[in-house]
Amino acid sequence: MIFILPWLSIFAASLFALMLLMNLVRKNTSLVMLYLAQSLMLTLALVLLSYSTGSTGLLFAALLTLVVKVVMAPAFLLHMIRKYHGHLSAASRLNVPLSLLALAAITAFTYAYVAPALAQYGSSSASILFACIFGTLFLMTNRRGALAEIVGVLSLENAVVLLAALLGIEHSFALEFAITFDIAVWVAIAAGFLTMMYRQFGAIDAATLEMTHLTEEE
Amino acid sequence: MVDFIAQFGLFAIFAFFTGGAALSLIYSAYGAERESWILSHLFAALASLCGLLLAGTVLFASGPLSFHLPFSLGIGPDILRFQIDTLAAFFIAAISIVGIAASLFGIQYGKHFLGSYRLGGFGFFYNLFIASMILVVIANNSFLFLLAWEGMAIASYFLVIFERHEAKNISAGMLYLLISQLGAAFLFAAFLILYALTGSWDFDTIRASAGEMPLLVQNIVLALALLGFSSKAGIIPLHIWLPEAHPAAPSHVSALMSGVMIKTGIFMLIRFFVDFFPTAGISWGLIIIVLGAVSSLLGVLYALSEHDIKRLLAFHSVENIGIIFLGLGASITFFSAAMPALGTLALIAALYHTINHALFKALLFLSAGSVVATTGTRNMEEYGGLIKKLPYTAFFFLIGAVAISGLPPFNGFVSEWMTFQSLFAGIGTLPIIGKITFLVGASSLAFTGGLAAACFVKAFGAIFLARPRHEHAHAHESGFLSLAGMGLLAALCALFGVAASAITPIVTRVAESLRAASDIAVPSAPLQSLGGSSLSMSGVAIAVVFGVALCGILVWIIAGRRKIVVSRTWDCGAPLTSRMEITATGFSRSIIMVFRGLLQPSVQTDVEYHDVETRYFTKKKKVELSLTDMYHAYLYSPAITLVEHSARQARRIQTGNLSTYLLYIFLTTLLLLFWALQ
Repeated sequence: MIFILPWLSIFAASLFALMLLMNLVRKNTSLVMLYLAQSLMLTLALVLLSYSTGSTGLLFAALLTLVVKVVMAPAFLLHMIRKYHGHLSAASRLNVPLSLLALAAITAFTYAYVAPALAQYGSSSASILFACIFGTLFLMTNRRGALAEIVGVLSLENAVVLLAALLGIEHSFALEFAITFDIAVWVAIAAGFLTMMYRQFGAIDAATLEMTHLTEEE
Repeated sequence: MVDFIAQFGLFAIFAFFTGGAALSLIYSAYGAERESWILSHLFAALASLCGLLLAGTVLFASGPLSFHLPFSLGIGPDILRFQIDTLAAFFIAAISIVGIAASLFGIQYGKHFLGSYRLGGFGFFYNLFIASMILVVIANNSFLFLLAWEGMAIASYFLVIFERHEAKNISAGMLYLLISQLGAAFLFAAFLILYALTGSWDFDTIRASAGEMPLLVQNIVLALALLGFSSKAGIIPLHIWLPEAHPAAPSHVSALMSGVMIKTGIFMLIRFFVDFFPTAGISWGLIIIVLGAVSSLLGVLYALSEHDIKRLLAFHSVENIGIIFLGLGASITFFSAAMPALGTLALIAALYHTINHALFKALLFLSAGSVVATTGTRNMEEYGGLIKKLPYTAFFFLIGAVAISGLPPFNGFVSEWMTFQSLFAGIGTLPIIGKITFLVGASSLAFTGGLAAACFVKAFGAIFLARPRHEHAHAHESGFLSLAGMGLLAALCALFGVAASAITPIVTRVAESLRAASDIAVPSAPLQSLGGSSLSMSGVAIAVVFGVALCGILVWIIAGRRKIVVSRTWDCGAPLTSRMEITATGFSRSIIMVFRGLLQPSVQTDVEYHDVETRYFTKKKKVELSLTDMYHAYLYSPAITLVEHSARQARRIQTGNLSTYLLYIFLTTLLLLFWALQ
């Protein structure tokens, strides 16, 4: 287990870096591709964990993550981008410099307050994953488009899974399977929901939706 | 036999309840509504019979029983802990007796609903309701208790809204559920505080560590418990659900709700104030006495103004819970003032009145149900002369009325007499604040007794005597099983009165068991103690029977030989009709006017003249007497307005923008984290 810790830290740092990029890119396709990369990092982390613990279950979990988070979910999201091209906003509320400043503040807060509490776990990577979680929350808040909110939730879940692995919380196959299944259902529902929103309002941009246009579905 | 009942009694109770609930649903699903109804009530009666046997075994033979089922229910270990001590057995006995009578009555009562409603659900919730009540009193774990408490509330809610075609019943059910959940919120808070301090949900641990808790925490827990359990008991001003929910529910459910469900609140108050926190403090006792005095007096005054028979009985529940509070408050005061013998005596009075009220109130609700079922109305102004068509029901109602009025030789007299004794003892022994409070309690009880008698003179007279004010040509007596249910309760009302000397020692044992460690010198016979005043109920019974017989003989001697002369009425007179009778409203009007400062009545008079121009001769005069609902006007309406205003203010944060909501979540997470890591 000891030798994999540096690797897990590398994966955690990768997740954080990808989260930063997600906050900076302005194209929805890039956002999805970054999520794909993040999910791939998580898959590799799970493979490493299964190897070190000798758990076949975790290997299955990694495989499942690969199928759902690396292949299915991004394919689904890219399909939606193609379908609703022009209606999916990629704009953000804060410009890039301000966004970077906010992210810096969030990271500083995490290291000032959360890191000391996590010191007992002997892993500095936990703090970076906490910063990653807050960064994805910031992404969802800052972006106007619905797609960024979906990707934000999925990215948040990636950070939570790796954080749990780092903190030594039991990571059984059943748990990972349930989480991945949950994600699959979540993506499907979100896609369906987007379709309904588009049909109802003629737009998917969460910021421009007018509640007054709401009518009962026939 | 004792071992067998002790071992399998509880299993049998829940097996019958489960069977009743399941069969009710199954038969109803196949369209056999009548069978569904009968089986559900039959199984409930059998389960209640098992409950009575188990309670008797604990009270007379085996002593306290404890059970522990090793299932976690997915919540935590040791949740399913049960204890049937003598107090629990006493309440199981009360629940079971009323359960048997109500179920017997209900078997034939169901025909009124055939074809109008699906009856399977009713049978299911009826069994669940009684089972939950038993579970409430035997739970020895906070978690299990709260599950049972909520189960009881939900089951009774569905029974209240059973006749859902009437919109009023739905709103009554909603009000009941609302108050119920408000009370439950206080209880959750109380148990969470206890868990935080003891680290356990178990009642045994709470009992053992209660004395070591800081005084402030003890008082907070007791205040939360008092609020939570009083809302179920129906103490003023948390009583507002009672006069709405009791009339809405079918009559035998009203009997169970008023007779025993509200007593589960009393049961838990005894647990908290006498069992868990025996050093609660004199002030808690005095507060409870004041609450009891206000509830008993106002309850009976509101009952006087009612002409809806079931609302009238509901208000009498408020009054009687007030009387029980007087006994309980006196008990807590005495225990806190290191007067354990008097404390036990007052507790005996409270417990005795608890079971007495269960008996006579259930009897009155069943009798009222019999009347309502056959006449189709709850309005007493539309009854009159029903004694000729419902003689047995009238007789049973009369027994209940005499008992609730606290008149000898029935049971209500005994417990009210003991409550008086306790209060008088406090006036003689306590410091000045205590003296004044006990004096207020005793005065209130004296007023209450007189007013209750007046109220039931009105009720019995308006329902059964005089001439019919409306034609109820099809009115008829209830069936045998319904009469058997009423007869059982009537017999017990008489038994608990006449044989009080034999029953008091049993209640004494229950009261003593809660304070076993305090080495109490309890009077061996509370009916014959305290400053030389003594009472022989069998002597009183003989005197009453002898007096009634003597009056009958005198009437027969004086009036019996007179011939009935039929002749024309005097000139300008008119033949006697029901319009010349005093109405229920008219009867109570004078008493209400005496208390008009308190009740704020409003009188609306509608007069119709023969000649509108001259207005000399009245053709028709209609007087409507109504009371201002002070609790709505001064307490609930302002509270609702405040909540609505707050809700309008809170809506400002509801922008409809998803990103804003995410920002709220984000900021909350950061704040919580900041707070947690400080």
